[in-house]
Amino acid sequence: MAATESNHRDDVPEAPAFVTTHWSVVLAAALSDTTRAQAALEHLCRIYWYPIYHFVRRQGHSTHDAQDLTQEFFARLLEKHWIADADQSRGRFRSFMLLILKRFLVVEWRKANAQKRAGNLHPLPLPLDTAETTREPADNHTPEQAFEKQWALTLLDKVVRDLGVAYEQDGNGRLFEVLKPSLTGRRETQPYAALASALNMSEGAVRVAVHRLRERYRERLRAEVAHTVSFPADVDNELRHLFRVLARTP
Amino acid sequence: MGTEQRCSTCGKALEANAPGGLCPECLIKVGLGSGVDIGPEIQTGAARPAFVPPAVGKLAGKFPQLEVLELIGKGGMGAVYKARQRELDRIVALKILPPDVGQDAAFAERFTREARALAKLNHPGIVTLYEFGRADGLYFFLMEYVDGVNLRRLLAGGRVSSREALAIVPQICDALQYAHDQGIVRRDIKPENILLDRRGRVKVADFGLAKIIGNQNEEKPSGGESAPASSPLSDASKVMGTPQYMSPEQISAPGEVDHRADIYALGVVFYQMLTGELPGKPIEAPSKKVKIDVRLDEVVLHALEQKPELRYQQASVLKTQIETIASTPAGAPAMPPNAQKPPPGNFSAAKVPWQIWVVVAVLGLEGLGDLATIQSQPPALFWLASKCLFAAGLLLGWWPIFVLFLSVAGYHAVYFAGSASLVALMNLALVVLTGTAFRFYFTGKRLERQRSAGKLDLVIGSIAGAFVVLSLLSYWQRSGLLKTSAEAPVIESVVVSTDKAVVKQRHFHGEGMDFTFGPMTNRWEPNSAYFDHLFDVTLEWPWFRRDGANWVIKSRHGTYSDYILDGPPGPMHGKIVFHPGTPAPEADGSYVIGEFQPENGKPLPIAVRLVRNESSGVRAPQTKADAPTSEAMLRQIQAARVELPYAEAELARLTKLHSSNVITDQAFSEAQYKVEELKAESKGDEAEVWRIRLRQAEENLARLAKLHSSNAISDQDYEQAELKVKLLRAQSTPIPVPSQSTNQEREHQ
Repeated sequence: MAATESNHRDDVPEAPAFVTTHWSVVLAAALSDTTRAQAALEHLCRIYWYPIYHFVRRQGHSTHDAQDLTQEFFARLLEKHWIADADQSRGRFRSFMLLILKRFLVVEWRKANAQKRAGNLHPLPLPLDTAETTREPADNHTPEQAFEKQWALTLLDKVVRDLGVAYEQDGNGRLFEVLKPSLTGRRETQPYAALASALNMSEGAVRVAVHRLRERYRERLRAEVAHTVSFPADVDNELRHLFRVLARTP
Repeated sequence: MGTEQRCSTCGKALEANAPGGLCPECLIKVGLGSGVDIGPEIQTGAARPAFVPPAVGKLAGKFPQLEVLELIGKGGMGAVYKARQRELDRIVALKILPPDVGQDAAFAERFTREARALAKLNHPGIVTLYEFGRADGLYFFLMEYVDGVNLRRLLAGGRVSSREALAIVPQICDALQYAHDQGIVRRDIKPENILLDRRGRVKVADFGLAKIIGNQNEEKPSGGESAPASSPLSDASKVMGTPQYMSPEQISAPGEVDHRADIYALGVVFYQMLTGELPGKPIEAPSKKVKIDVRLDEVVLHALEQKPELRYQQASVLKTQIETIASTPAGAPAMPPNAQKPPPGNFSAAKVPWQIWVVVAVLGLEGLGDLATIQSQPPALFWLASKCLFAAGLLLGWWPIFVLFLSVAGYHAVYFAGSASLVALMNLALVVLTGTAFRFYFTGKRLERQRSAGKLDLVIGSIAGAFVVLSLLSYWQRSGLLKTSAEAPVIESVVVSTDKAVVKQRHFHGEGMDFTFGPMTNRWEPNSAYFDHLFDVTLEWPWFRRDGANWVIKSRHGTYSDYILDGPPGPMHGKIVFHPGTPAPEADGSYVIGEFQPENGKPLPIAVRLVRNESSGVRAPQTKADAPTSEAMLRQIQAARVELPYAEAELARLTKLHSSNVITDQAFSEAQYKVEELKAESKGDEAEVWRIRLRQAEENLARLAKLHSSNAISDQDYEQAELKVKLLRAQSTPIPVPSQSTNQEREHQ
């Protein structure tokens, strides 16, 4: 359950002997400025930018404005003024982000007529132009619900994709493609016999491969979640919360 | 958006943005892992409505072999009906689980496994399980039918008489013991699950069902997630076992729960039966709330120990205890020896926890008293020994040891304190009072122990008595000496080596040492604010020798020769050098042991001299009253005082993270330093603040040095750290007010 594996591709140096999660590194470093915390925070932002953008759009801002606001939000966040403020929600990165995002938007709304956006702050490169084309059917969620839902989906998406990439790198891309539906499926709907013939493997081997796939997925998912909470024990809670979020009827 | 797809597992519609084309809910479920159910009420996509038990008629269709008679109860875990098995013509209880519990194969497997284990239980105190299985999608159990009430109903009328309780509890113990022997732990003992039939026989029901339904990870609400939309937490807690009956380890370490958790739960139930209430925090003994046999207190409290290892380890032992109490009338002279001894050294701790706090408080006060009154430090070992004796005496209730301590402490206080200080005597009096109070407290409980002590008592008592006499004598003598003697302190020998000076005095009467700097004609004394920074002064006494005392000046480890001297010309940075050898005395009775070489200025000889106790010696640092207090400084102090509690709270938070290795040592030490700094700032001790910062920087530098030597950090980074240390060093010595000599020096440079 410990987030020992660093499955991100940036070369953020990790302390060798300790189990550190990104979010806890950020929190701990709120007292003083360290480059590691900065890098960890950046890393987290790069993963979870879409829910932020989605929320901003949900507030009624136009595409262009939303892009601006999102950029500005991240730029400000990375200056770390806010980490010291957010207190209650320090437990989860997700709740913290929502909290300061809402604050930020309120402040920005008040300064609605200000011309200068953050010109001199370090901008975070985000693929904002892809944001509008990929997503959502309209639904009846409140913006907060939408935020949380997008958060969950972003997380899952990342994990599944990373897993796929990992399999590719091992030379098992096709295996992953074929077995992917078994990740969540029941044995009855995905009979091992069919999979075995598709992959030219024995049924027993398929069973083992599916099991391993699920295990690796599980590990990655938990590790990824662990990066956004401050105690390893919170991982289960966070997962349960995300489940409830996804289970809400639209 | 095209044809609608559905997840093959849970049936929910797949949206276009499904991650990897897979159903997100199922993905999360996989992430939670098998064996950890999310909870029966969150199984499908929609928020589940409350479980409505099927009507009797509907049920009958599913169970052709039964004649379902009536619904007798329902709860979060399902519903129970009274039914009749047609073929066997016996009345049974039919329990069904909510229909959407456990759809997957893993659940079915677990269910079967657990139910089989339960079916093996065959005990008159346990509701027997006849059959289990799945009928038409419904999981069901067929159990023994108990015609009676459950304990909850009984308790609804208030408390139960202790006679009844003493009749009920042993039966529960029996059932528990039987189950534990079979290796089954219930983990949800509570009044609802304890049934009483019309003949007063106890039957424990619902054995292990909680385990089957499988909410083993008790959910702890954590910050920021207090009220999710459908608030399943309250339902979840019903499913997972009522919190009031859960033992502490069930909440904090659910993976390490064993049969002793059941004993705890039983304790809670017992308590509830006797008093009508749940045990509160802190736990009050039942005899204090209601009129019952005092001996029952011990039993109940023993079962309610927070730590499993302190409880009864077997339910059968609890039963024996109760039966003994029930059979012997109250006020019997001696309790039969416990079949199971609580761990040694924990007598009082197990029974009377508040006592420990008093002991700690008294020890603390005593220690403070020591520090306040005793001007020269007693040997650490001796101090420690006396404290241990004290603690041992109190905790074990063994009076002779306690008296021994008192006398030793008294002797020590009077003898080494060196003066008939009123505070020292008050200190002693406080200790005596506490001891006497404890002695009386312990009389009742430890009567048999004391009797058995016997001869040893006498021996120790007399040694103690001897000490008391000695103390009194010495006190009398001491005060006599202090009043009349005009004898000047005499130094017997001074031996100096390169890093320490040992000064031996002839008749030690608690005099102190004076350090002076400068040639004899121009002596001055440093402000002691930096004195401990100057060098470590250790005063050593060999045990109980009256004729000599060593003062050892040790150079501080690590800052071997770098010192800051604060004197009339102002603080000066420099080195201390000892002159090895045996110096001859100066005209004023001092001995020159070395010299202080400031960075700017001429070296100043250091001389050491004995003086009377009152005047100097190793002085405490200058008090705040002397420090310059400007407006700005006051404000700074105020600000630091305000910030300090936040920093300490932060440190406490990080301590937890650090102990579970979530944050680095360095981050943790930074927080520690911040707290130290604030503490010094809030006292207005600027010097200390700079020292702390300097220390932190030096530590940092040492750490970086290692990294630098293995090329883990750049030269620039390392230089920066070095520079920081240099700056801090310079800053901790404010610019010295130049004296005549230093001015000339500088001109020459």
